[in-house]
Amino acid sequence: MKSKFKKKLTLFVEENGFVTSVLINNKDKSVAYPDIGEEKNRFFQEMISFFKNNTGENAHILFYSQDSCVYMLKTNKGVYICECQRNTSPSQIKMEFNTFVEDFENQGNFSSLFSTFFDR
Amino acid sequence: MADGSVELIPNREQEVTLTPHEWQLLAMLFKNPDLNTLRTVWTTDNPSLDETLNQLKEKRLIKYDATDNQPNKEYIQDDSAKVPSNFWKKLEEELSKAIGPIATLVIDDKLDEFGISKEHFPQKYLYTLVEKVEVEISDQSDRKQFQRAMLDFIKQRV
Repeated sequence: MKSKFKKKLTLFVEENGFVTSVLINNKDKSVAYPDIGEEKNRFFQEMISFFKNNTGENAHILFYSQDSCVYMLKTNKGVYICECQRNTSPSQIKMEFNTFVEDFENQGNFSSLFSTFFDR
Repeated sequence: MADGSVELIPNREQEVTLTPHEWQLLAMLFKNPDLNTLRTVWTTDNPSLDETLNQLKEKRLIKYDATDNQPNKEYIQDDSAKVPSNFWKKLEEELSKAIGPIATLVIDDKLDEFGISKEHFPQKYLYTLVEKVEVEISDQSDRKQFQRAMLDFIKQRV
């Protein structure tokens, strides 16, 4: 992962104490920070697939599990997941994460940016 | 009984006499059992909706808890951490940049929706408040600017 973009994602997770993990999906590729493990990754991939096929552009959804809440956002460039502590205000998650995604997508060419996540 | 709802009590054996307003309210309740909805459609001030509800309650025709009348109790109960006073100044300042001098009115209006004063406003709902306020900004770039300024402020100062 190239440092500039990794930094952006790392910073967002670390600066916002309520965020547990973030996953970014573009086409058939996904990257998560911090590592979310295989089981959760599989679950998120299923959610992404459902979300992609059943919602329009700029859709968002918030759902709760026993110990966390998960915010999913779909733009024309990708699907983004923000997993947060369960007691976080939905407005806070929505505003903070939407701002992050907007910044993220506005930094140059998104496709090349995204591919950099997989450059090692 | 759930907050904001009125329940009719059936099976009365005695005769009941209703005033026109009481009957009007019962008829409206049939369509709008939710108290909040009822408030929006009740247009008479004399008697007020609450007075009429109390009259029906005294006649044992409805179950109605007067405390339901308190707007948004959930917000009021959570007063553990209050908002610093400079937040309101910043909110007004940033909103004024986008919509001008009516900013104060808009903020007061939104606070009314919460049913709680600035002095008792809990920190927990700051983001919700910002979200409610920003919908009044029609220009999208102004709205984003407002949102960013407020998010930064909340992060740094609150």
